[in-house]
Amino acid sequence: MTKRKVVVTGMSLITSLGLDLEANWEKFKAGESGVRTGTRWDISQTPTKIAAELDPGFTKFVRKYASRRFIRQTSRSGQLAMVLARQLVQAYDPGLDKLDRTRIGCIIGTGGSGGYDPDMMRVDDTWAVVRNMPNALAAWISIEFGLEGSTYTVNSACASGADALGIAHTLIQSGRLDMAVVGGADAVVNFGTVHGFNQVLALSERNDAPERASRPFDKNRDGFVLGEGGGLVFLESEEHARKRGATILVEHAGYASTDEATNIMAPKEGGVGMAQTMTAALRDAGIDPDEVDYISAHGTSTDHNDRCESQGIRLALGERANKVAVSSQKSMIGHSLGAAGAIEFVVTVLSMLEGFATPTINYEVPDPDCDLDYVPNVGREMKIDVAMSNSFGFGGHNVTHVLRRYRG
Amino acid sequence: MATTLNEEQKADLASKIREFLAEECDMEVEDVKDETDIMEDLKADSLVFLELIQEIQQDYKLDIELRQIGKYIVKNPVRTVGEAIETMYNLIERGEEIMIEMEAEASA
Repeated sequence: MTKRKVVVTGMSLITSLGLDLEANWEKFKAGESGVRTGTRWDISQTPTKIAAELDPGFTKFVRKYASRRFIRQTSRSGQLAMVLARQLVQAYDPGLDKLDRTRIGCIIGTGGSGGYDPDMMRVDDTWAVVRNMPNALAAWISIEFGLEGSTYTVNSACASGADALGIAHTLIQSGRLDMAVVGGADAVVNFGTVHGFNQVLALSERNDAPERASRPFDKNRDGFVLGEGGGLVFLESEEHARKRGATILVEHAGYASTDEATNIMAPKEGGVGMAQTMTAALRDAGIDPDEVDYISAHGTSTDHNDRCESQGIRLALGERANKVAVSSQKSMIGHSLGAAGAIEFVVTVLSMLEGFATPTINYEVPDPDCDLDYVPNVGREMKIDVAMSNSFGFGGHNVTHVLRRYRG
Repeated sequence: MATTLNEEQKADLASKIREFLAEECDMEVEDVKDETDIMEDLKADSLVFLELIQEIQQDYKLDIELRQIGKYIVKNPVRTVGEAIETMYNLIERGEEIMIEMEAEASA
Protein backbone atom coordinates (compact mmCIF):
# COMPACT_ATOMS: atom_id res chain seq x y z
CA MET A 1 0.00 0.00 0.00
CA THR A 2 1.28 3.45 -0.87
CA LYS A 3 1.98 5.62 2.14
CA ARG A 4 -0.15 8.74 2.19
CA LYS A 5 1.57 12.10 2.59
CA VAL A 6 0.80 13.80 5.93
CA VAL A 7 0.47 17.57 6.21
CA VAL A 8 -0.13 20.21 8.88
CA THR A 9 -3.19 22.40 8.26
CA GLY A 10 -3.70 24.30 11.51
CA MET A 11 -2.13 25.05 14.87
CA SER A 12 -2.73 26.63 18.26
CA LEU A 13 -0.32 27.51 21.04
CA ILE A 14 -0.45 28.61 24.69
CA THR A 15 2.61 29.00 26.93
CA SER A 16 3.86 31.30 29.66
CA LEU A 17 4.56 33.79 26.87
CA GLY A 18 0.93 34.20 25.91
CA LEU A 19 -2.58 32.81 25.64
CA ASP A 20 -2.71 32.58 21.86
CA LEU A 21 -0.50 31.74 18.91
CA GLU A 22 0.18 35.31 17.76
CA ALA A 23 1.24 36.61 21.18
CA ASN A 24 3.54 33.64 21.59
CA TRP A 25 5.22 34.02 18.24
CA GLU A 26 6.04 37.71 18.80
CA LYS A 27 7.71 36.88 22.13
CA PHE A 28 9.49 33.80 20.82
CA LYS A 29 10.93 35.97 18.06
CA ALA A 30 11.98 38.66 20.51
CA GLY A 31 13.61 36.12 22.81
CA GLU A 32 11.55 36.91 25.90
CA SER A 33 11.46 34.73 28.97
CA GLY A 34 8.23 33.53 30.57
CA VAL A 35 9.97 32.39 33.77
CA ARG A 36 9.01 34.17 37.02
CA THR A 37 8.90 33.49 40.76
CA GLY A 38 6.35 30.69 41.24
CA THR A 39 2.80 31.38 42.44
CA ARG A 40 1.15 27.99 42.12
CA TRP A 41 2.72 26.33 45.18
CA ASP A 42 4.23 27.32 48.52
CA ILE A 43 7.72 28.25 47.35
CA SER A 44 9.06 28.24 50.92
CA GLN A 45 8.75 24.44 50.82
CA THR A 46 11.00 23.75 47.82
CA PRO A 47 14.60 24.61 46.85
CA THR A 48 13.32 25.73 43.43
CA LYS A 49 11.10 28.81 43.61
CA ILE A 50 10.67 29.67 39.92
CA ALA A 51 8.54 28.41 37.03
CA ALA A 52 7.14 29.39 33.65
CA GLU A 53 3.47 29.46 34.61
CA LEU A 54 0.57 30.46 32.40
CA ASP A 55 -0.61 34.06 32.69
CA PRO A 56 -2.49 34.49 36.00
CA GLY A 57 -5.52 35.49 33.90
CA PHE A 58 -5.75 31.97 32.46
CA THR A 59 -8.39 30.84 34.95
CA LYS A 60 -10.76 33.60 33.84
CA PHE A 61 -9.71 33.21 30.22
CA VAL A 62 -10.96 29.61 30.21
CA ARG A 63 -14.52 30.88 30.86
CA LYS A 64 -14.50 32.44 27.39
CA TYR A 65 -14.18 28.96 25.96
CA ALA A 66 -15.89 26.61 28.41
CA SER A 67 -18.83 26.35 30.78
CA ARG A 68 -18.57 26.52 34.54
CA ARG A 69 -19.64 22.90 34.68
CA PHE A 70 -16.88 21.84 32.29
CA ILE A 71 -14.34 23.68 34.43
CA ARG A 72 -15.50 21.81 37.54
CA GLN A 73 -15.15 18.52 35.74
CA THR A 74 -11.66 19.06 34.33
CA SER A 75 -8.08 19.54 35.47
CA ARG A 76 -6.06 22.63 34.59
CA SER A 77 -4.40 20.57 31.83
CA GLY A 78 -7.82 19.45 30.56
CA GLN A 79 -8.99 23.06 30.43
CA LEU A 80 -5.83 24.07 28.62
CA ALA A 81 -6.33 21.32 26.03
CA MET A 82 -9.92 22.42 25.43
CA VAL A 83 -9.00 26.09 25.00
CA LEU A 84 -6.29 25.05 22.52
CA ALA A 85 -8.77 22.89 20.58
CA ARG A 86 -11.31 25.71 20.38
CA GLN A 87 -8.65 28.17 19.25
CA LEU A 88 -7.50 25.68 16.62
CA VAL A 89 -10.99 25.11 15.23
CA GLN A 90 -11.84 28.83 15.31
CA ALA A 91 -8.66 29.90 13.53
CA TYR A 92 -8.48 27.12 10.92
CA ASP A 93 -12.15 26.14 10.69
CA PRO A 94 -12.15 22.88 8.70
CA GLY A 95 -15.97 22.77 8.42
CA LEU A 96 -16.26 19.69 10.59
CA ASP A 97 -19.98 19.34 9.85
CA LYS A 98 -19.21 18.50 6.23
CA LEU A 99 -16.49 15.95 7.03
CA ASP A 100 -16.74 12.26 7.90
CA ARG A 101 -16.01 12.54 11.61
CA THR A 102 -15.64 8.79 12.06
CA ARG A 103 -12.31 9.35 10.24
CA ILE A 104 -11.11 12.18 12.49
CA GLY A 105 -9.41 11.38 15.82
CA CYS A 106 -7.94 13.22 18.76
CA ILE A 107 -4.58 12.21 20.27
CA ILE A 108 -3.09 14.25 23.07
CA GLY A 109 0.25 13.81 24.82
CA THR A 110 0.47 14.65 28.49
CA GLY A 111 3.19 13.87 30.96
CA GLY A 112 2.18 14.98 34.42
CA SER A 113 -1.59 15.22 34.22
CA GLY A 114 -3.64 12.76 36.21
CA GLY A 115 -2.62 11.64 39.65
CA TYR A 116 -0.75 14.80 40.67
CA ASP A 117 -3.83 16.96 41.14
CA PRO A 118 -4.21 17.73 44.86
CA ASP A 119 -8.00 17.93 44.35
CA MET A 120 -7.95 14.14 44.01
CA MET A 121 -7.61 14.07 47.80
CA ARG A 122 -10.92 15.77 48.53
CA VAL A 123 -13.47 13.26 49.82
CA ASP A 124 -16.53 15.20 48.67
CA ASP A 125 -15.31 15.66 45.13
CA THR A 126 -17.84 14.18 42.69
CA TRP A 127 -15.57 14.67 39.70
CA ALA A 128 -12.27 13.35 41.06
CA VAL A 129 -12.10 10.42 38.66
CA VAL A 130 -13.35 12.23 35.59
CA ARG A 131 -11.11 15.22 36.29
CA ASN A 132 -7.95 13.26 36.88
CA MET A 133 -8.11 10.50 34.31
CA PRO A 134 -5.35 11.42 31.86
CA ASN A 135 -7.43 10.34 28.84
CA ALA A 136 -9.93 13.11 29.66
CA LEU A 137 -7.79 15.60 27.77
CA ALA A 138 -8.48 13.88 24.46
CA ALA A 139 -11.95 12.58 25.32
CA TRP A 140 -13.44 16.02 26.04
CA ILE A 141 -12.17 17.39 22.73
CA SER A 142 -13.70 14.50 20.83
CA ILE A 143 -16.99 15.00 22.69
CA GLU A 144 -16.97 18.74 22.00
CA PHE A 145 -16.34 18.40 18.27
CA GLY A 146 -17.95 15.01 17.61
CA LEU A 147 -14.69 13.35 16.54
CA GLU A 148 -15.41 9.62 16.36
CA GLY A 149 -12.04 8.32 15.20
CA SER A 150 -9.23 7.01 17.45
CA THR A 151 -9.09 9.13 20.58
CA TYR A 152 -6.69 8.74 23.47
CA THR A 153 -3.94 10.24 25.56
CA VAL A 154 -0.32 9.25 25.13
CA ASN A 155 2.26 9.22 27.88
CA SER A 156 5.97 8.86 27.33
CA ALA A 157 7.01 11.50 29.88
CA CYS A 158 8.61 14.49 28.21
CA ALA A 159 8.22 12.91 24.78
CA SER A 160 4.42 12.52 25.14
CA GLY A 161 3.34 15.33 22.84
CA ALA A 162 5.89 14.28 20.26
CA ASP A 163 4.72 10.67 20.44
CA ALA A 164 1.09 11.78 20.05
CA LEU A 165 2.09 13.53 16.81
CA GLY A 166 3.93 10.42 15.66
CA ILE A 167 1.02 8.09 16.34
CA ALA A 168 -1.40 10.39 14.54
CA HIS A 169 1.05 10.58 11.63
CA THR A 170 1.10 6.79 11.36
CA LEU A 171 -2.69 6.46 11.60
CA ILE A 172 -3.18 9.05 8.85
CA GLN A 173 -0.38 7.74 6.66
CA SER A 174 -1.77 4.20 6.81
CA GLY A 175 -5.30 5.31 5.99
CA ARG A 176 -6.90 4.54 9.36
CA LEU A 177 -7.67 8.23 9.89
CA ASP A 178 -8.00 11.16 7.48
CA MET A 179 -7.34 13.83 10.05
CA ALA A 180 -6.59 14.37 13.73
CA VAL A 181 -6.56 17.04 16.38
CA VAL A 182 -3.19 16.24 17.90
CA GLY A 183 -0.57 17.65 20.23
CA GLY A 184 0.05 18.02 23.95
CA ALA A 185 -0.97 19.94 27.05
CA ASP A 186 0.47 19.97 30.56
CA ALA A 187 -0.18 22.40 33.37
CA VAL A 188 1.10 20.71 36.50
CA VAL A 189 3.27 23.31 38.17
CA ASN A 190 2.39 22.45 41.77
CA PHE A 191 4.15 21.35 44.94
CA GLY A 192 4.18 17.66 43.97
CA THR A 193 5.84 18.24 40.62
CA VAL A 194 8.39 20.78 41.83
CA HIS A 195 9.26 18.74 44.91
CA GLY A 196 9.55 15.54 42.87
CA PHE A 197 11.90 17.03 40.31
CA ASN A 198 13.89 18.79 43.03
CA GLN A 199 14.44 15.42 44.68
CA VAL A 200 16.18 14.11 41.58
CA LEU A 201 18.17 17.35 41.20
CA ALA A 202 16.65 18.09 37.81
CA LEU A 203 15.51 21.69 38.35
CA SER A 204 17.35 24.99 38.17
CA GLU A 205 17.70 26.75 41.51
CA ARG A 206 18.68 30.11 40.04
CA ASN A 207 15.89 31.70 42.06
CA ASP A 208 17.37 35.19 42.17
CA ALA A 209 17.27 35.55 38.39
CA PRO A 210 14.19 33.69 37.09
CA GLU A 211 14.38 35.02 33.53
CA ARG A 212 17.98 33.88 33.26
CA ALA A 213 17.49 30.45 34.81
CA SER A 214 16.73 28.37 31.74
CA ARG A 215 20.02 28.40 29.83
CA PRO A 216 20.28 25.40 27.52
CA PHE A 217 23.78 24.58 26.25
CA ASP A 218 25.36 27.30 28.44
CA LYS A 219 28.24 26.04 30.57
CA ASN A 220 26.59 27.31 33.76
CA ARG A 221 23.22 25.61 33.22
CA ASP A 222 21.94 24.08 36.44
CA GLY A 223 18.77 22.24 35.50
CA PHE A 224 15.46 22.86 33.77
CA VAL A 225 12.64 25.22 34.72
CA LEU A 226 9.15 23.75 34.93
CA GLY A 227 6.67 25.28 32.53
CA GLU A 228 3.00 25.10 31.65
CA GLY A 229 1.61 25.11 28.16
CA GLY A 230 0.36 23.23 25.17
CA GLY A 231 0.17 23.11 21.42
CA LEU A 232 -2.21 21.45 19.01
CA VAL A 233 -2.24 20.96 15.26
CA PHE A 234 -4.47 19.55 12.59
CA LEU A 235 -2.59 16.67 10.98
CA GLU A 236 -4.22 15.40 7.86
CA SER A 237 -3.59 13.40 4.73
CA GLU A 238 -2.58 15.59 1.81
CA GLU A 239 -5.43 14.14 -0.22
CA HIS A 240 -8.02 15.03 2.45
CA ALA A 241 -6.61 18.53 2.88
CA ARG A 242 -6.67 19.23 -0.87
CA LYS A 243 -10.15 17.82 -1.26
CA ARG A 244 -11.55 20.21 1.33
CA GLY A 245 -9.50 23.12 -0.02
CA ALA A 246 -7.42 23.63 3.12
CA THR A 247 -4.27 25.73 3.19
CA ILE A 248 -1.37 23.34 3.74
CA LEU A 249 1.20 24.85 6.12
CA VAL A 250 4.03 22.29 5.93
CA GLU A 251 4.56 18.61 5.19
CA HIS A 252 5.07 16.34 8.17
CA ALA A 253 7.63 14.32 6.27
CA GLY A 254 8.45 11.64 8.84
CA TYR A 255 9.40 10.78 12.38
CA ALA A 256 10.95 8.13 14.59
CA SER A 257 10.03 7.00 18.08
CA THR A 258 12.43 4.74 19.98
CA ASP A 259 13.46 3.77 23.46
CA GLU A 260 17.02 3.59 24.75
CA ALA A 261 16.09 0.64 26.99
CA THR A 262 18.98 1.50 29.28
CA ASN A 263 18.29 3.90 32.13
CA ILE A 264 15.14 5.35 33.69
CA MET A 265 16.53 8.90 33.78
CA ALA A 266 19.84 9.40 32.04
CA PRO A 267 20.36 9.29 28.27
CA LYS A 268 23.04 7.03 26.80
CA GLU A 269 26.44 8.68 26.98
CA GLY A 270 27.64 10.22 23.74
CA GLY A 271 24.05 10.80 22.62
CA VAL A 272 24.14 7.46 20.82
CA GLY A 273 20.43 6.70 21.34
CA MET A 274 19.38 10.20 20.40
CA ALA A 275 21.47 10.01 17.22
CA GLN A 276 19.87 6.70 16.24
CA THR A 277 16.45 8.30 16.58
CA MET A 278 17.39 11.36 14.51
CA THR A 279 18.87 9.12 11.80
CA ALA A 280 15.77 6.90 11.75
CA ALA A 281 13.52 9.95 11.46
CA LEU A 282 15.47 11.32 8.50
CA ARG A 283 15.34 7.91 6.83
CA ASP A 284 11.58 7.73 7.41
CA ALA A 285 11.22 11.15 5.77
CA GLY A 286 13.54 10.22 2.90
CA ILE A 287 15.73 13.21 3.70
CA ASP A 288 19.51 13.40 3.62
CA PRO A 289 21.31 14.95 6.64
CA ASP A 290 22.75 17.58 4.27
CA GLU A 291 19.26 18.92 3.62
CA VAL A 292 18.56 19.81 7.28
CA ASP A 293 18.50 23.57 7.92
CA TYR A 294 17.24 23.83 11.48
CA ILE A 295 16.76 21.71 14.61
CA SER A 296 14.41 22.58 17.43
CA ALA A 297 16.36 20.91 20.22
CA HIS A 298 14.92 19.19 23.27
CA GLY A 299 17.51 21.45 25.01
CA THR A 300 16.31 21.24 28.59
CA SER A 301 19.16 23.11 30.32
CA THR A 302 20.25 20.03 32.26
CA ASP A 303 23.86 18.96 32.20
CA HIS A 304 23.16 15.51 30.73
CA ASN A 305 20.57 16.32 28.09
CA ASP A 306 22.32 19.24 26.49
CA ARG A 307 25.68 17.51 26.30
CA CYS A 308 24.26 14.23 24.95
CA GLU A 309 21.90 15.95 22.51
CA SER A 310 24.74 18.05 21.08
CA GLN A 311 26.87 14.93 20.66
CA GLY A 312 23.88 13.10 19.18
CA ILE A 313 23.31 15.82 16.59
CA ARG A 314 26.98 15.57 15.57
CA LEU A 315 26.70 11.80 15.26
CA ALA A 316 23.49 11.92 13.23
CA LEU A 317 24.35 14.81 10.93
CA GLY A 318 28.12 14.47 10.59
CA GLU A 319 29.66 17.47 8.81
CA ARG A 320 26.23 19.04 8.42
CA ALA A 321 26.17 19.65 12.19
CA ASN A 322 28.59 22.55 11.60
CA LYS A 323 26.07 24.30 9.38
CA VAL A 324 22.72 23.59 10.99
CA ALA A 325 21.04 26.12 13.32
CA VAL A 326 19.93 24.56 16.61
CA SER A 327 17.77 26.33 19.17
CA SER A 328 15.93 25.57 22.36
CA GLN A 329 12.45 27.03 22.90
CA LYS A 330 12.79 25.92 26.53
CA SER A 331 15.26 28.76 27.11
CA MET A 332 12.19 31.01 26.99
CA ILE A 333 9.26 28.90 28.20
CA GLY A 334 10.91 26.31 30.43
CA HIS A 335 9.95 22.67 30.12
CA SER A 336 6.26 21.88 29.84
CA LEU A 337 6.86 18.13 30.25
CA GLY A 338 4.43 16.13 28.08
CA ALA A 339 3.42 19.20 26.11
CA ALA A 340 6.94 20.28 25.21
CA GLY A 341 7.25 18.22 22.01
CA ALA A 342 3.95 19.55 20.68
CA ILE A 343 4.71 23.17 21.58
CA GLU A 344 8.10 22.92 19.87
CA PHE A 345 6.54 21.25 16.81
CA VAL A 346 4.20 24.24 16.47
CA VAL A 347 7.03 26.77 16.95
CA THR A 348 9.06 24.88 14.34
CA VAL A 349 6.19 25.13 11.84
CA LEU A 350 6.00 28.88 12.55
CA SER A 351 9.77 29.19 12.11
CA MET A 352 9.52 27.56 8.67
CA LEU A 353 6.57 29.66 7.57
CA GLU A 354 8.05 32.93 8.82
CA GLY A 355 11.66 32.18 7.80
CA PHE A 356 12.92 32.85 11.30
CA ALA A 357 14.90 30.70 13.73
CA THR A 358 14.01 31.55 17.32
CA PRO A 359 16.95 32.14 19.69
CA THR A 360 18.40 30.16 22.58
CA ILE A 361 18.37 32.86 25.23
CA ASN A 362 20.67 33.13 28.25
CA TYR A 363 23.54 31.68 26.28
CA GLU A 364 26.55 33.37 27.89
CA VAL A 365 29.39 30.92 28.50
CA PRO A 366 30.16 28.32 25.83
CA ASP A 367 30.50 24.74 27.01
CA PRO A 368 33.22 22.76 25.18
CA ASP A 369 30.89 19.73 25.26
CA CYS A 370 28.16 21.69 23.44
CA ASP A 371 29.73 23.09 20.31
CA LEU A 372 26.96 23.75 17.79
CA ASP A 373 25.35 26.95 16.47
CA TYR A 374 22.61 27.46 19.07
CA VAL A 375 21.27 30.74 17.58
CA PRO A 376 22.55 32.43 20.74
CA ASN A 377 20.39 35.14 22.34
CA VAL A 378 19.11 36.75 19.15
CA GLY A 379 16.78 35.11 16.64
CA ARG A 380 17.78 34.89 13.02
CA GLU A 381 16.05 35.33 9.69
CA MET A 382 16.81 32.27 7.62
CA LYS A 383 15.14 30.08 5.03
CA ILE A 384 14.12 26.78 6.54
CA ASP A 385 13.13 24.11 4.04
CA VAL A 386 13.77 21.13 6.31
CA ALA A 387 13.53 21.16 10.09
CA MET A 388 13.79 18.56 12.82
CA SER A 389 12.25 18.68 16.27
CA ASN A 390 13.67 16.53 19.09
CA SER A 391 11.94 15.32 22.26
CA PHE A 392 13.40 13.00 24.89
CA GLY A 393 11.76 11.70 28.06
CA PHE A 394 12.57 9.95 31.33
CA GLY A 395 12.33 6.27 30.53
CA GLY A 396 14.56 6.58 27.48
CA HIS A 397 11.77 7.75 25.16
CA ASN A 398 13.24 9.49 22.11
CA VAL A 399 11.21 11.10 19.34
CA THR A 400 12.36 13.14 16.35
CA HIS A 401 10.02 14.75 13.83
CA VAL A 402 11.01 15.94 10.38
CA LEU A 403 9.11 18.76 8.68
CA ARG A 404 9.55 19.88 5.07
CA ARG A 405 8.36 22.93 3.21
CA TYR A 406 5.23 21.97 1.26
CA ARG A 407 5.67 22.10 -2.47
CA GLY A 408 2.27 20.93 -3.67
CA MET B 1 37.17 19.81 60.90
CA ALA B 2 38.79 17.50 58.40
CA THR B 3 38.46 13.80 59.12
CA THR B 4 41.19 11.33 58.30
CA LEU B 5 40.20 7.74 57.66
CA ASN B 6 42.68 5.05 58.70
CA GLU B 7 43.18 1.90 56.59
CA GLU B 8 40.79 -0.13 58.71
CA GLN B 9 38.02 2.50 58.41
CA LYS B 10 38.62 2.70 54.68
CA ALA B 11 38.30 -1.08 54.28
CA ASP B 12 35.15 -1.07 56.38
CA LEU B 13 33.61 1.74 54.33
CA ALA B 14 34.53 0.02 51.05
CA SER B 15 32.85 -3.18 52.10
CA LYS B 16 29.73 -1.29 53.27
CA ILE B 17 29.53 0.36 49.84
CA ARG B 18 29.89 -2.99 48.05
CA GLU B 19 27.24 -4.56 50.27
CA PHE B 20 24.83 -1.67 49.73
CA LEU B 21 25.23 -1.79 45.95
CA ALA B 22 24.92 -5.58 45.89
CA GLU B 23 21.72 -5.53 47.90
CA GLU B 24 20.22 -2.56 46.06
CA CYS B 25 20.93 -4.03 42.62
CA ASP B 26 20.27 -7.66 43.43
CA MET B 27 23.82 -8.86 42.85
CA GLU B 28 26.24 -11.11 44.73
CA VAL B 29 28.67 -8.96 46.72
CA GLU B 30 31.65 -10.79 45.21
CA ASP B 31 30.50 -9.58 41.78
CA VAL B 32 30.66 -5.94 42.89
CA LYS B 33 34.32 -5.24 42.09
CA ASP B 34 36.25 -1.98 41.82
CA GLU B 35 36.02 -2.03 38.04
CA THR B 36 32.29 -2.85 37.98
CA ASP B 37 30.36 -0.13 36.11
CA ILE B 38 27.45 1.06 38.25
CA MET B 39 25.11 1.89 35.38
CA GLU B 40 26.18 -0.70 32.80
CA ASP B 41 26.92 -3.74 34.98
CA LEU B 42 24.72 -3.15 38.02
CA LYS B 43 21.89 -1.60 35.96
CA ALA B 44 21.55 1.09 38.60
CA ASP B 45 20.53 4.68 37.83
CA SER B 46 22.43 7.90 38.28
CA LEU B 47 20.96 8.57 41.73
CA VAL B 48 22.16 5.41 43.43
CA PHE B 49 25.27 7.23 44.67
CA LEU B 50 23.13 9.73 46.58
CA GLU B 51 21.14 6.92 48.15
CA LEU B 52 24.42 5.36 49.15
CA ILE B 53 25.42 8.61 50.86
CA GLN B 54 22.11 8.74 52.72
CA GLU B 55 22.82 5.22 53.92
CA ILE B 56 26.26 5.97 55.40
CA GLN B 57 25.92 9.69 56.18
CA GLN B 58 25.27 9.31 59.91
CA ASP B 59 27.97 6.72 60.59
CA TYR B 60 30.65 8.95 59.11
CA LYS B 61 29.47 12.38 60.26
CA LEU B 62 29.12 13.64 56.71
CA ASP B 63 27.35 16.95 57.30
CA ILE B 64 27.21 18.30 53.77
CA GLU B 65 23.75 18.81 52.33
CA LEU B 66 22.82 15.97 50.03
CA ARG B 67 21.79 18.38 47.27
CA GLN B 68 25.28 19.89 47.31
CA ILE B 69 26.81 16.46 46.92
CA GLY B 70 24.37 15.78 44.10
CA LYS B 71 25.57 18.86 42.26
CA TYR B 72 29.17 17.79 42.78
CA ILE B 73 28.39 14.37 41.33
CA VAL B 74 26.74 15.92 38.28
CA LYS B 75 30.00 17.77 37.59
CA ASN B 76 32.21 14.82 38.59
CA PRO B 77 30.36 11.69 37.52
CA VAL B 78 31.03 8.42 39.31
CA ARG B 79 31.06 5.46 36.92
CA THR B 80 32.62 2.49 38.66
CA VAL B 81 32.39 1.02 42.14
CA GLY B 82 36.06 1.89 42.69
CA GLU B 83 35.33 5.53 41.78
CA ALA B 84 32.36 5.52 44.14
CA ILE B 85 34.59 4.32 46.99
CA GLU B 86 37.31 6.89 46.24
CA THR B 87 34.75 9.71 45.94
CA MET B 88 33.26 8.68 49.26
CA TYR B 89 36.71 8.74 50.97
CA ASN B 90 37.27 12.22 49.50
CA LEU B 91 33.91 13.55 50.62
CA ILE B 92 34.40 12.28 54.16
CA GLU B 93 37.99 13.48 54.45
CA ARG B 94 37.71 16.87 52.73
CA GLY B 95 34.05 17.34 51.79
CA GLU B 96 33.67 20.89 53.06
CA GLU B 97 36.77 21.98 51.20
CA ILE B 98 35.49 20.36 47.98
CA MET B 99 32.14 22.14 48.32
CA ILE B 100 33.85 25.52 48.81
CA GLU B 101 35.98 24.88 45.72
CA MET B 102 32.86 23.96 43.75
CA GLU B 103 31.02 27.13 44.80
CA ALA B 104 34.05 29.25 43.89
CA GLU B 105 34.24 27.59 40.49
CA ALA B 106 30.51 28.16 39.85
CA SER B 107 30.70 31.84 40.68
CA ALA B 108 33.91 32.36 38.68
